[in-house]
Amino acid sequence: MRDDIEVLLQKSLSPTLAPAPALNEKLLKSAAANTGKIVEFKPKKAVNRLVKAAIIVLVVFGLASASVTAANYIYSHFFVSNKVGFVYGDEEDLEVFEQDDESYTPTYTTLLEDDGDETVNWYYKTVIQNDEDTVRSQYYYKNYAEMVEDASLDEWFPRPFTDDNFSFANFMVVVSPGEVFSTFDVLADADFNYNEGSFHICETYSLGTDKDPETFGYNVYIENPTNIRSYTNKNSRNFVLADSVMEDGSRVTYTSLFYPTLHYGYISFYELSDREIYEILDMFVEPKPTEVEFVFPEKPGVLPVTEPVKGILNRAKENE
Amino acid sequence: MNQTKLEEYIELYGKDIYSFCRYLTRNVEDADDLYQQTFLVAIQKDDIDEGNNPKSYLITIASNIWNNHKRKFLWRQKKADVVYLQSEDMEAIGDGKDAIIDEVLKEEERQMVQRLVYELPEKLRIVILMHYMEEMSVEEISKALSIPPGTVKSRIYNAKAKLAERMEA
Repeated sequence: MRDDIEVLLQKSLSPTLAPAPALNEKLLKSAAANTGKIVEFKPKKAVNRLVKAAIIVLVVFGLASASVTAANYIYSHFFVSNKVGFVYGDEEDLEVFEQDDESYTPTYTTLLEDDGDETVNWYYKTVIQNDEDTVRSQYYYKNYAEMVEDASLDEWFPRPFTDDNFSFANFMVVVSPGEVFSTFDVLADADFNYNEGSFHICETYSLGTDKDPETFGYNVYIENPTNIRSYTNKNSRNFVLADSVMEDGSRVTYTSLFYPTLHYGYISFYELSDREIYEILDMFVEPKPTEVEFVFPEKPGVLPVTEPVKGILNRAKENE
Repeated sequence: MNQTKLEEYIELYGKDIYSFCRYLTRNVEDADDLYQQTFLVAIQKDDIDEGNNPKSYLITIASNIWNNHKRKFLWRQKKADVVYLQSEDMEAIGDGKDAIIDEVLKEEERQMVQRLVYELPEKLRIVILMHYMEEMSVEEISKALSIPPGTVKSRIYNAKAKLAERMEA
């Protein structure tokens, strides 16, 4: 059969699909408009988008062997778009975000499910793989502080506040193999109760090898943002807030944080008044500027990450 | 690259590049975009060596653009990575049957191979397309994808094994 396949492939794969004449005309026109000079071909900028309700689009770029300092968490290029919500970036990024609204249905294979033991902080984990060999390892926790510690993320709210109001926490590590290098994303979600309502935290960062975080665009998607306002908490941190009204008429309020290191997230508030939201934001722990060295995948051992993230990273490298 | 040259390349390699884009992206819209971007980048770079397999060079550009695009949008948790063939795809693929004159090969067999290649994982599909559709050598594919020649060989081998397995099923 192998020999037959060889012949069949040779016979079957002739390049017979012709471009439509209109496509060639369009191409020639585009080139003619730039006759005598270099065509200013500009690929779409790399963008990240976080979509509410824990549906996350992660894009996978990083910076090779460069140090960046996490600071200035609110950017000057930050704005709220009527169509897509919170955006850090420019008009070009916005254009991409507005176009990038496809819907998908997942196809996954579960590779592993496991219950934790006394040697680990997590109590349950799953490992799944999609058809592009991308592997997602997801870990579930019984408190927020241990989750963010394992995920190498910032603790946005302190103990015992998070323990007292805890509802749910998990984080996932996504390793996407590429032709030249693998990419690596961490994404964390946590839910908390507060009075008669609740709030949700989503935080993510990406490690890879070929993008400058300073040229990256980010989007936290919100449907029909309204009532855009700001609040400065007791630590002088300014939060931009926007509401989104759900189909049942309930209001959800969002605020987002963008770091300059391929690291960003949002907080959403459900059935909470502005006064209660401000009380929560007053508890926000100011992230400390940290030196983060992006070296994946050449030197995974020096990444500033803890188990299980480091373990997953090393296993991914071994499998390359 | 001037306008005349561009027209010449479209005439010479348009079908090759477009077929590659179509099988690679498995989507008409993306294939159209990739096809145009490939030529626009070639114009921008303006360094085609006519004595050194221009088609392979254009295919390499298409592959690089697609890989960059894929990296940017690689991981969507909602994304279905299995793309099912639409009737228009198969119709378009079938359009090529008249161009292949081979009495030995049965039409159903050919269509089955096309379908199975279409459904291969991308990293296997791309080497099969480069090797069998675009007649690129292992060395050319190795250079285009920045992977060792041994990896190219093993991917071709694995792809053929998968195809054989599915054909026997």
